[in-house]
Amino acid sequence: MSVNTMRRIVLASNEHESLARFVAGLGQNREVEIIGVGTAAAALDAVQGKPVHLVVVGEKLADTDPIDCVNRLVRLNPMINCAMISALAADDFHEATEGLGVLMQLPPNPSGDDAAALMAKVEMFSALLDLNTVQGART
Amino acid sequence: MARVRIAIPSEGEGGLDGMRSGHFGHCDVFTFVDLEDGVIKEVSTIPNVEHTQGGCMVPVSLLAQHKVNALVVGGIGMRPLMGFRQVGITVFHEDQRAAIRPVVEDLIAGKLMVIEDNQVCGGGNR
Repeated sequence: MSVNTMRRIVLASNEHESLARFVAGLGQNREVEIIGVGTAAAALDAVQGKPVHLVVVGEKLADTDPIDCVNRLVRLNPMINCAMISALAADDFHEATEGLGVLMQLPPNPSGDDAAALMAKVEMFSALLDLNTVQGART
Repeated sequence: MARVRIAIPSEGEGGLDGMRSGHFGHCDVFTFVDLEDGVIKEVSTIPNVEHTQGGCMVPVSLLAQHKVNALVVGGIGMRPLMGFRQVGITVFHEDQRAAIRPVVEDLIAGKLMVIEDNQVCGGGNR
């Protein structure tokens, strides 16, 4: 992916008003399109048809729990990066989401700095997925 | 002529007489076993990429780019399993034996089963 490409981000949460600083941080260093939704069903709709670089799942959704939402997203399109806002302790979060490949656990009411760290990770994995062909097989 | 490349997550330097790694994302190398008409023609290895949180699609991309057709794992998460399916790599399940050679021989003989959704590790198994 080009470094100049706009990033399309789905924000799935029932608490958008508490995420203003976080959303501002997502767009701090590059152009982003934020698609705000309140349900897992809407998040699934949003990732179909258009390229989506990141889905951030909040602590509350109107139709299911956040881990189920990520599970459904992964089954629909495993290439999409997901991050989750969660108050769980790190070990408990790892246990609850093992195998789902969640990019980052974000704290409740995440800050602009949290957003910047998340976007840096998105860019790192985008680069890795583009560049890991450089390792050749050795017989 | 039917050509198939099998990938085995491996410990250390890998190779046909090496040992498998229990977690594909954390393996040291991938051992590639190339078959022609069901006969082993070549064995090679490639280093894995560093595994970090959320990076389980990186080895998926790595194996796809090396034209792997089949992967044998002892365990795998839902996201990478879906990723392997998306790129056309068939994932087989074998969680009993650590040695590479007998597992490869069983795969060639058609004795290994394709992994099912309910055999994935952790939170994806819901």
